Amino acid sequence: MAAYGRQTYNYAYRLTGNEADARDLTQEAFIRVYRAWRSFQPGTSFLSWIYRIVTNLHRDELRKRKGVFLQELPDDNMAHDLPREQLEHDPIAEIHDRQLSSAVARALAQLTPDQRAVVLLADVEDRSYQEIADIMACSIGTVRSRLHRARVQLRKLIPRQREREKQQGYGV
Amino acid sequence: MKNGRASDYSILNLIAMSCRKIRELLTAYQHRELDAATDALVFSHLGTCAPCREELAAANDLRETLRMAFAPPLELPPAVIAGVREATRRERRAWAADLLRTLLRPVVWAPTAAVVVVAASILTHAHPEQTTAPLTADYFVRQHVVHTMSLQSGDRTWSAYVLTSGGTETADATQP
Ligand SMILES: [Zn+2]
Repeated sequence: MAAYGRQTYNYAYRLTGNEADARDLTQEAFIRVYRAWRSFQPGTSFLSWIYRIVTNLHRDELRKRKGVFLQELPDDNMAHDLPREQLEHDPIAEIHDRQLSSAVARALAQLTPDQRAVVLLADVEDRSYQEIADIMACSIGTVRSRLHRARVQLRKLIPRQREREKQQGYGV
Repeated sequence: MKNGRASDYSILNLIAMSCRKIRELLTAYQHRELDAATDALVFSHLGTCAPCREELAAANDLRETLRMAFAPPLELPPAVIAGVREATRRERRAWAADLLRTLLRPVVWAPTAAVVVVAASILTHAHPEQTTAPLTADYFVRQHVVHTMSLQSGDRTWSAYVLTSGGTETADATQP
């Protein structure tokens, strides 16, 4: 389990953006693996199987939370209106857990769960489009289009490295 | 140029191909997911077009920003392993308890016990001394009595009738 556990945990962290949710997600995924052990088809990638479970669990969890969130806050755009400090600072999490850089975290949070998964798998995990299609149970065409849309979004939301360096006085 | 349509990305289309079309391919180009011909085509376009090169640089930059945000990789917290172990142990225990409960139900154990008794009696009867022993009328009568004693009274009366009538028949037969 340890061999796959580390990789799975990192993928869960990339999806959720914080360690507390990543721990829950990884734990739940491995319990599902234990229960569904017999449904694993030999000859297929075990890691892809776990990744698919993680991706689905994360998508379900976000839908559940969004449902609760919408019930509590009738205004859909409320989160974007909050002051930046409130979104960026979670003192408890900062002490105990590593948290994603706020610009990347905020940008990824604006993507749909599927767009987020596809970007992370392609850009951070270096998975091939075929592997991503297997994990997400969709076609390669869908992988391409999701990736394209996610990229366009992220380009708008994340300032470029060079611009940040310019701001900090490094030049190019 | 009728056959010009056969290949959208032919060398002839290289110059005519719009920057917009190239930019749609840039993500896949960056991920090395284009077929060799299309890959070469994008590569040559980038050699001649500064704005598209800039576009690719921005895409690479975004990729680098994402990778940096998640580096270095995290170690798996022991709490996760402990949590999985605990949950699966609990499930295994619940499964064992379920199995035990199922086995202890009379519906299950009564037929099982019956099968064991029958099997035991077959094994006993299969004993050589028993099979070689002569089968006398007396043996069957005794078996019948043992059997009827365990039956309810109604059946016992019927058995008694069978026994007596059988007895008279035998008596009659021995007295020609
Ligand atoms: Zn161009």
